[in-house]
Amino acid sequence: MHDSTRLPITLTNLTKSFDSQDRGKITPVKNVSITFNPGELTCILGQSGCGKTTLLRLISGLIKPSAGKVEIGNDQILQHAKNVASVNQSGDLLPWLNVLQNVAFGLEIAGFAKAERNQCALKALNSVNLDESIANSMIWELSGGMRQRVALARALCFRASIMLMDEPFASLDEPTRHQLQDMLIRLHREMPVTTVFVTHSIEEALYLADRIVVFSKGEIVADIPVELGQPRDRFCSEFIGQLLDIRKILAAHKSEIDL
Amino acid sequence: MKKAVAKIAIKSLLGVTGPAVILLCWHLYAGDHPNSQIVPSVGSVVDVLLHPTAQVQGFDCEPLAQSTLYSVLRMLTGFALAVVSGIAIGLLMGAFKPVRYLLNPTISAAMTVSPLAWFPLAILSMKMASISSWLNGENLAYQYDTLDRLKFAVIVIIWVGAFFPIALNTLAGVDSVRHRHVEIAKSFGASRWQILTKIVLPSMLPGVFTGLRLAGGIAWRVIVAAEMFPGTTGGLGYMIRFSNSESEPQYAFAAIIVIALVGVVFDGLLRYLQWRSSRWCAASV
Repeated sequence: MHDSTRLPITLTNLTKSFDSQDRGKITPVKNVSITFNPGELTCILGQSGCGKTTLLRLISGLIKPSAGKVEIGNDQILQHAKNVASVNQSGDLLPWLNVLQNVAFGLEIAGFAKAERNQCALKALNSVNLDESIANSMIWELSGGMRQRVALARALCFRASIMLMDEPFASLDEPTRHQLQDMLIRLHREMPVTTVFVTHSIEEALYLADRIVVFSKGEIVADIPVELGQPRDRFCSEFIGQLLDIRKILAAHKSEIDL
Repeated sequence: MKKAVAKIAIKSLLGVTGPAVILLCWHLYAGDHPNSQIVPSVGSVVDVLLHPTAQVQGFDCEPLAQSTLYSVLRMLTGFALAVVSGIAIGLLMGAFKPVRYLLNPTISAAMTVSPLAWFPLAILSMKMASISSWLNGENLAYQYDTLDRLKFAVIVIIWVGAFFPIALNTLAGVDSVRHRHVEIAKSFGASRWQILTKIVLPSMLPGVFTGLRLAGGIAWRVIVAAEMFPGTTGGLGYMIRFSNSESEPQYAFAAIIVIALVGVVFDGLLRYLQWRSSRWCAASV
């Protein structure tokens, strides 16, 4: 298992450009500088196609920046970062493996013995409120919500220092989404790894985040600390008040944002 | 439960209707004349099938069981070589673009040629060389009869027939590997070997098995045809060729039935393996 020491992520003048056949040269990330503090859950808020996913791929080292740098702790990320777990909208589970094997996949790659990784995987399944009885189920037998839990369990089991989440709950129905949001908050409290959570929902960002970064057209247009404590109540006046404050901030940047 | 049983019963009944109708038509046409020179009686063919180790009457050929063994061994040898080489070349083509550009036009052109077209060339170049003559030398080859029946010329023809579908479907399997799955493995720190064994190989299995089933059907059809050519001895194709020319058609009919049964069993086995290893592909979203 990896050391789950809390590490900061520092982006310095980060830029990424692509040559697109249809649109010529595009720059989804433009000169971004920011530090995600150790153990903090930051939500990146932005519309589809604003460069959020590219930003996560740059952090995880899956693509190389055109300019600038990414550092996790004191290490500059030059290739695939090896202590980063990611969860995205589709879960990206491996369909030829069963649930337990999927959860234990990271540990299998790291060379852990079967008994040890299975034990850890079962623990991770429990922590995302999944029963051990589904351990031998195949992925196609699970609902969308269960798949996201399994993906989360896989990330937890690996005990990475960084968690990158790319709209993980976007395709779920509202009750399931709320359930998983509560679970994420609980897990983050128990194991506060540095988490970057991408979403296009202002309410979700406010419910989850310690800090909200508004991203538009490849740039950071607002960096908003969330002053509410956890757990949060979506219907309390403080929550609604801050929601309105964020909407005001976004309205002020209306020419730059389209949420 | 009752509905399910009824459904299975209807399906089974429909499944056996076809062969039953053929059998009835055959019986009505051939009657009960055991010495018919074109279409034998059902009874004479059943007799051959029920006594597969009995000596063949009327011409020089091994009994049905031994002929089947020769054909199956030839097919499996050529097929096994095609599996190993086809998967290896398909993987190389999938992994390295220059190899793909180099081989794809050649393979695409070569696969349109019937494997049997190569048979005269194979016989001329390899003559009567067999696995036994390769292992024991030409003078002692005859001492290991079964191995001596595995002529290289025939094995090469099977290989030619089976290689292309396996290579091209392996390539299609490699192309179907989801980049995101590779990225996940990389994010967990996977090495190139781990990416190959844990992501690429399982992802490409559905494609590979499609190729194996296609290749298995081709290999089995090709072997029977190849055995009818001069230069081969023994096997089901050989039995069909000589039973017709010696006016003993009951052996040809028995051999045809065995060919069909072996084909069904072999395809069933491959289908089972495909289901075991690739059921996630059909079932997953």
